[in-house]
Amino acid sequence: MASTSTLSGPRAFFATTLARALELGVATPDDLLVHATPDVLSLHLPRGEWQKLIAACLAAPRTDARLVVDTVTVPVLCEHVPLPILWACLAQLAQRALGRGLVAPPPAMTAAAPVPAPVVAPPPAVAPAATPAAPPPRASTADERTVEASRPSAPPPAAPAAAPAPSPSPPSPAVAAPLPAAPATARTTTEGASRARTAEPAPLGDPPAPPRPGNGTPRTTLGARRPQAAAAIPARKPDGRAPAGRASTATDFEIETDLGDTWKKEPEQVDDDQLIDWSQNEETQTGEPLPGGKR
Amino acid sequence: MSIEARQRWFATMMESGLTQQIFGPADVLRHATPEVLATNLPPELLSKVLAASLAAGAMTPERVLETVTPDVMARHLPHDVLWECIAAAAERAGITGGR
Repeated sequence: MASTSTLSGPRAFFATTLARALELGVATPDDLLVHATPDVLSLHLPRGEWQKLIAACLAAPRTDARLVVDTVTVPVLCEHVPLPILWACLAQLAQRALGRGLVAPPPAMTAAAPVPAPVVAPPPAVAPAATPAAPPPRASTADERTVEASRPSAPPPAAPAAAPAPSPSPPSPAVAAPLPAAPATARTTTEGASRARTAEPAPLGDPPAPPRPGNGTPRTTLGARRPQAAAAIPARKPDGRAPAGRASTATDFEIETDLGDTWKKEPEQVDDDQLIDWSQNEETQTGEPLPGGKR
Repeated sequence: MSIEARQRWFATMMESGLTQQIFGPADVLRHATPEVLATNLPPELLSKVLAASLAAGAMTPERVLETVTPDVMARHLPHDVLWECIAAAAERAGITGGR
């Protein structure tokens, strides 16, 4: 039987490196027999080595690659197996050790990376429009933050950031007007439009129907809507979005009409003795009386 | 496969290749270029290489490999570079074959 010391040159090199690979766990006996197949061994292994191999296999309860390699030994394999085959075996081990033995090469993985389809599953038309380059140039506005906060997937930090952002002064109509349109134009999709609609304050968008037992008539009179209108006004003011500068909605119209009717329907009855003649009152006299006695 | 096992295996391949004259020190430095050595060797080894060369009066591939041993190569140099050295030597020796 050959040993590593009896070999020289490339065969000694292969014997050393392959044996060391087995020792270190870099290779397994199966890795060797993938290249040194039974056909290869039958052609190149001497009959004496075959005799020992057959005997060992017959004696063992199980025949596997380890038994073959342990019986034939790496130096004998490297002594008789053609060098190109040994090289192919060594090269495969090295490729695997260097991490190049994967079926999918890295370039293919990088090419597939930009496709984020499984992440959120937006409509296909949204992905090109919602490129990361669009949002950064424009500072986020209060309306956008409101929209983002209303989204289920909005990150928690968005809510604290929205609190100090609005300026203490009321927004001017010129600034407030284009805000709702900005998200829609940036995304250029129906999703943006639907999200803009979502930004409409809930109390104004759809008045809740109060339960009215026994009264099945729809709420068509102004008097029936009065309580809702009065409750909606304070909720709208802190929103900071004045109705001026944007198209009025049906809800706005109803609120204003309702207030006007309230003022008209309850006139105060005043007696004449309750009236004050301000021209005769000393508290209102600041200078010389007017020539006509009237101010 | 652990990093240590891979390092020891590459050290064995480099040592065996040099011992069996599959490739020589000059072949090694053809791949482990000065840039590769300067980039990857720690300062103490660079200093040692330079000091040995100054003491001998010349820096030769053989002298460099006296300091940059196969074990040092496998530990510090990229294994891709070492494998390129081995593969090129096998190609020159004609042992890669057509397979």
